[in-house]
Amino acid sequence: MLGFSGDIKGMLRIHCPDRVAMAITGSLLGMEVDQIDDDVNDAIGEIANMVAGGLKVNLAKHNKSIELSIPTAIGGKFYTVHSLARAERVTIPFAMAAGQMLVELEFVSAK
Amino acid sequence: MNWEQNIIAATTEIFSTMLMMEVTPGAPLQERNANYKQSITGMVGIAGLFKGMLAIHAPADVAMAITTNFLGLEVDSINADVKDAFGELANMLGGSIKASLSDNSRDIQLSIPSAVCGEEYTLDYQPRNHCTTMPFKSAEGIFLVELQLEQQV
Repeated sequence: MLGFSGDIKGMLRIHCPDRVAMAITGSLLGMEVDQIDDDVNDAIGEIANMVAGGLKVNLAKHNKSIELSIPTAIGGKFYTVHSLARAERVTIPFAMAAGQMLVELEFVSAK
Repeated sequence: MNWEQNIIAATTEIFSTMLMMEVTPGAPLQERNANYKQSITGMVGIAGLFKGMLAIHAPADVAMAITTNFLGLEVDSINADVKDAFGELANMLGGSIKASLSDNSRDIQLSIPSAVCGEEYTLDYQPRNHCTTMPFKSAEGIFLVELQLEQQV
Protein backbone atom coordinates (compact mmCIF):
# COMPACT_ATOMS: atom_id res chain seq x y z
CA MET A 1 0.00 0.00 0.00
CA LEU A 2 1.02 3.54 -0.60
CA GLY A 3 -0.36 6.88 0.55
CA PHE A 4 -0.68 9.94 -1.61
CA SER A 5 -1.70 13.50 -1.05
CA GLY A 6 -2.28 16.76 -2.88
CA ASP A 7 -5.46 17.80 -4.72
CA ILE A 8 -6.75 14.34 -3.90
CA LYS A 9 -5.53 12.38 -0.91
CA GLY A 10 -5.80 8.70 -0.32
CA MET A 11 -4.27 5.26 -0.36
CA LEU A 12 -3.60 2.82 -3.10
CA ARG A 13 -3.45 -0.84 -2.15
CA ILE A 14 -2.62 -4.01 -4.01
CA HIS A 15 -3.98 -7.14 -2.36
CA CYS A 16 -3.07 -10.64 -3.42
CA PRO A 17 -2.65 -14.12 -1.96
CA ASP A 18 0.91 -15.38 -1.33
CA ARG A 19 0.89 -17.50 -4.48
CA VAL A 20 -0.02 -14.54 -6.68
CA ALA A 21 2.48 -12.29 -4.91
CA MET A 22 5.24 -14.82 -5.58
CA ALA A 23 4.23 -15.16 -9.25
CA ILE A 24 4.23 -11.36 -9.68
CA THR A 25 7.62 -11.09 -7.99
CA GLY A 26 9.02 -13.88 -10.17
CA SER A 27 7.90 -12.06 -13.31
CA LEU A 28 9.03 -8.64 -12.15
CA LEU A 29 12.47 -9.71 -10.97
CA GLY A 30 12.98 -12.54 -13.43
CA MET A 31 13.73 -15.14 -10.80
CA GLU A 32 12.19 -18.09 -9.03
CA VAL A 33 10.39 -17.17 -5.83
CA ASP A 34 9.10 -19.82 -3.47
CA GLN A 35 8.55 -17.91 -0.25
CA ILE A 36 7.37 -14.53 0.99
CA ASP A 37 10.66 -12.77 1.58
CA ASP A 38 12.10 -9.28 1.27
CA ASP A 39 12.06 -9.59 -2.52
CA VAL A 40 8.32 -10.17 -2.51
CA ASN A 41 7.69 -7.29 -0.12
CA ASP A 42 9.82 -5.03 -2.29
CA ALA A 43 8.19 -6.19 -5.50
CA ILE A 44 4.60 -5.73 -4.33
CA GLY A 45 5.54 -2.37 -2.80
CA GLU A 46 7.10 -1.42 -6.10
CA ILE A 47 3.96 -2.47 -8.01
CA ALA A 48 1.91 -0.22 -5.73
CA ASN A 49 4.44 2.56 -6.39
CA MET A 50 4.20 2.10 -10.15
CA VAL A 51 0.40 1.94 -10.20
CA ALA A 52 0.25 5.08 -8.06
CA GLY A 53 2.81 6.70 -10.39
CA GLY A 54 0.50 5.91 -13.32
CA LEU A 55 -2.38 7.41 -11.40
CA LYS A 56 -0.32 10.54 -10.77
CA VAL A 57 0.40 10.97 -14.47
CA ASN A 58 -3.26 10.46 -15.36
CA LEU A 59 -4.49 12.87 -12.74
CA ALA A 60 -2.01 15.48 -13.98
CA LYS A 61 -3.79 15.35 -17.35
CA HIS A 62 -6.90 16.45 -15.48
CA ASN A 63 -4.99 19.22 -13.71
CA LYS A 64 -4.96 17.38 -10.41
CA SER A 65 -1.63 17.11 -8.72
CA ILE A 66 -0.69 14.43 -6.18
CA GLU A 67 2.50 13.51 -4.34
CA LEU A 68 3.29 9.94 -3.36
CA SER A 69 4.51 8.64 -0.01
CA ILE A 70 6.56 5.45 0.24
CA PRO A 71 5.17 1.95 -0.29
CA THR A 72 4.64 -0.36 2.66
CA ALA A 73 4.11 -4.09 2.27
CA ILE A 74 1.96 -5.95 4.74
CA GLY A 75 2.00 -9.71 4.90
CA GLY A 76 0.67 -12.35 7.22
CA LYS A 77 -1.64 -15.26 7.75
CA PHE A 78 -4.56 -13.29 9.02
CA TYR A 79 -5.00 -9.56 9.11
CA THR A 80 -7.53 -6.91 8.25
CA VAL A 81 -7.03 -3.49 6.75
CA HIS A 82 -9.34 -0.80 7.94
CA SER A 83 -9.74 2.56 6.36
CA LEU A 84 -11.57 5.78 6.89
CA ALA A 85 -15.30 5.27 6.55
CA ARG A 86 -15.87 8.60 4.82
CA ALA A 87 -13.48 7.97 1.93
CA GLU A 88 -14.62 6.88 -1.51
CA ARG A 89 -13.37 3.52 -2.63
CA VAL A 90 -12.92 1.70 -5.91
CA THR A 91 -11.67 -1.90 -5.95
CA ILE A 92 -10.90 -3.64 -9.22
CA PRO A 93 -10.09 -7.35 -9.35
CA PHE A 94 -7.59 -8.55 -11.93
CA ALA A 95 -7.30 -12.16 -12.98
CA MET A 96 -3.98 -13.73 -13.90
CA ALA A 97 -2.68 -17.26 -14.35
CA ALA A 98 -1.64 -17.61 -10.71
CA GLY A 99 -4.89 -16.24 -9.31
CA GLN A 100 -6.48 -12.95 -8.52
CA MET A 101 -5.16 -9.57 -7.48
CA LEU A 102 -7.20 -6.63 -6.19
CA VAL A 103 -6.27 -3.04 -6.78
CA GLU A 104 -7.99 -0.78 -4.31
CA LEU A 105 -8.08 2.98 -4.45
CA GLU A 106 -9.43 4.92 -1.56
CA PHE A 107 -9.57 8.69 -1.67
CA VAL A 108 -11.04 11.96 -0.55
CA SER A 109 -10.85 15.25 -2.41
CA ALA A 110 -8.73 17.65 -0.40
CA LYS A 111 -10.20 21.06 0.37
CA MET B 1 17.20 16.47 11.88
CA ASN B 2 16.71 14.69 15.19
CA TRP B 3 13.84 12.36 14.43
CA GLU B 4 13.85 10.80 17.88
CA GLN B 5 13.18 14.15 19.53
CA ASN B 6 10.50 14.93 16.96
CA ILE B 7 8.72 11.65 17.66
CA ILE B 8 9.02 12.12 21.42
CA ALA B 9 7.67 15.67 21.29
CA ALA B 10 4.73 14.73 19.05
CA THR B 11 3.81 11.58 20.96
CA THR B 12 4.07 12.88 24.52
CA GLU B 13 2.13 16.01 23.61
CA ILE B 14 -0.70 14.22 21.84
CA PHE B 15 -0.99 11.56 24.53
CA SER B 16 -1.01 14.07 27.36
CA THR B 17 -3.39 16.58 25.79
CA MET B 18 -5.76 14.35 23.81
CA LEU B 19 -5.70 11.13 25.81
CA MET B 20 -4.72 12.35 29.27
CA MET B 21 -2.08 9.63 29.30
CA GLU B 22 1.46 10.06 30.54
CA VAL B 23 3.84 8.16 28.31
CA THR B 24 7.59 7.74 28.78
CA PRO B 25 9.91 7.31 25.81
CA GLY B 26 12.41 4.47 25.88
CA ALA B 27 15.61 4.03 23.89
CA PRO B 28 15.13 3.98 20.11
CA LEU B 29 15.03 0.48 18.65
CA GLN B 30 18.31 -0.50 17.03
CA GLU B 31 16.59 -2.70 14.53
CA ARG B 32 13.12 -2.17 13.19
CA ASN B 33 10.44 -4.57 14.24
CA ALA B 34 8.70 -6.11 11.22
CA ASN B 35 6.57 -8.82 12.85
CA TYR B 36 3.50 -8.10 14.90
CA LYS B 37 1.26 -10.51 16.79
CA GLN B 38 -2.22 -9.70 18.04
CA SER B 39 -1.52 -6.07 17.41
CA ILE B 40 -2.86 -3.08 15.60
CA THR B 41 -0.97 -0.59 13.48
CA GLY B 42 -2.27 2.84 12.54
CA MET B 43 -0.42 4.44 9.67
CA VAL B 44 -0.41 7.50 7.45
CA GLY B 45 1.67 8.31 4.38
CA ILE B 46 3.74 11.49 4.17
CA ALA B 47 4.39 13.14 0.80
CA GLY B 48 5.97 16.29 -0.59
CA LEU B 49 9.20 17.86 0.64
CA PHE B 50 9.64 14.82 2.85
CA LYS B 51 8.37 11.46 1.80
CA GLY B 52 7.66 8.58 4.12
CA MET B 53 5.31 7.01 6.56
CA LEU B 54 4.33 7.30 10.18
CA ALA B 55 3.03 4.29 12.08
CA ILE B 56 1.90 3.58 15.61
CA HIS B 57 1.93 -0.07 16.69
CA ALA B 58 0.36 -1.50 19.85
CA PRO B 59 -0.56 -4.92 21.20
CA ALA B 60 -4.32 -5.48 21.35
CA ASP B 61 -4.71 -4.87 25.11
CA VAL B 62 -2.70 -1.65 25.00
CA ALA B 63 -4.63 -0.54 21.91
CA MET B 64 -7.94 -1.03 23.70
CA ALA B 65 -6.76 0.96 26.72
CA ILE B 66 -5.54 3.77 24.47
CA THR B 67 -8.88 3.82 22.64
CA THR B 68 -10.79 3.95 25.92
CA ASN B 69 -8.76 7.00 26.95
CA PHE B 70 -9.06 8.59 23.55
CA LEU B 71 -12.76 8.12 22.87
CA GLY B 72 -13.99 7.84 26.44
CA LEU B 73 -15.72 4.56 25.86
CA GLU B 74 -15.10 1.02 27.00
CA VAL B 75 -13.86 -1.35 24.34
CA ASP B 76 -13.32 -5.07 24.82
CA SER B 77 -12.26 -6.12 21.36
CA ILE B 78 -10.37 -4.69 18.39
CA ASN B 79 -13.48 -3.22 16.83
CA ALA B 80 -14.06 -0.36 14.39
CA ASP B 81 -13.61 2.20 17.19
CA VAL B 82 -10.11 0.95 17.96
CA LYS B 83 -9.20 0.95 14.27
CA ASP B 84 -10.57 4.46 13.82
CA ALA B 85 -8.73 5.61 16.93
CA PHE B 86 -5.43 4.23 15.63
CA GLY B 87 -5.93 5.75 12.19
CA GLU B 88 -6.69 9.07 13.86
CA LEU B 89 -3.69 8.80 16.19
CA ALA B 90 -1.42 8.18 13.20
CA ASN B 91 -3.01 11.18 11.52
CA MET B 92 -2.42 13.42 14.54
CA LEU B 93 1.15 12.22 15.04
CA GLY B 94 1.81 12.73 11.33
CA GLY B 95 0.31 16.22 11.54
CA SER B 96 2.52 17.12 14.46
CA ILE B 97 5.68 15.79 12.79
CA LYS B 98 4.72 17.61 9.62
CA ALA B 99 4.36 20.90 11.51
CA SER B 100 7.82 20.43 13.02
CA LEU B 101 9.37 19.91 9.58
CA SER B 102 8.06 22.89 7.74
CA ASP B 103 6.46 26.25 8.49
CA ASN B 104 4.57 26.07 5.26
CA SER B 105 1.87 23.45 5.61
CA ARG B 106 1.64 23.00 1.84
CA ASP B 107 5.21 21.66 1.60
CA ILE B 108 4.39 18.38 3.27
CA GLN B 109 1.10 16.56 3.09
CA LEU B 110 -0.43 13.52 4.70
CA SER B 111 -2.35 10.79 2.94
CA ILE B 112 -5.44 9.36 4.59
CA PRO B 113 -4.76 7.04 7.51
CA SER B 114 -5.40 3.32 7.63
CA ALA B 115 -5.22 0.69 10.29
CA VAL B 116 -3.95 -2.86 9.96
CA CYS B 117 -4.62 -5.47 12.60
CA GLY B 118 -4.57 -9.19 13.00
CA GLU B 119 -3.30 -12.31 14.69
CA GLU B 120 -0.01 -12.13 12.92
CA TYR B 121 1.26 -9.79 10.23
CA THR B 122 4.43 -8.25 8.94
CA LEU B 123 5.10 -4.73 7.82
CA ASP B 124 7.91 -3.89 5.48
CA TYR B 125 8.85 -0.97 3.31
CA GLN B 126 11.53 0.43 1.14
CA PRO B 127 13.99 1.93 1.54
CA ARG B 128 14.77 0.40 4.90
CA ASN B 129 17.04 3.18 6.04
CA HIS B 130 15.93 6.58 7.40
CA CYS B 131 13.75 4.78 9.86
CA THR B 132 13.36 5.59 13.56
CA THR B 133 11.28 3.54 15.98
CA MET B 134 10.65 4.81 19.49
CA PRO B 135 9.07 2.69 22.20
CA PHE B 136 6.78 4.44 24.68
CA LYS B 137 5.77 3.12 28.03
CA SER B 138 2.30 3.83 29.39
CA ALA B 139 0.50 2.50 32.46
CA GLU B 140 -1.20 -0.03 30.20
CA GLY B 141 1.89 -1.25 28.40
CA ILE B 142 4.34 -0.44 25.64
CA PHE B 143 3.59 0.83 22.16
CA LEU B 144 5.84 1.88 19.28
CA VAL B 145 5.89 4.97 17.11
CA GLU B 146 7.77 4.51 13.87
CA LEU B 147 8.81 7.19 11.41
CA GLN B 148 10.33 6.56 8.03
CA LEU B 149 11.25 9.77 6.24
CA GLU B 150 13.37 10.82 3.36
CA GLN B 151 14.00 14.39 2.35
CA GLN B 152 13.34 14.96 -1.33
CA VAL B 153 16.06 16.78 -3.25
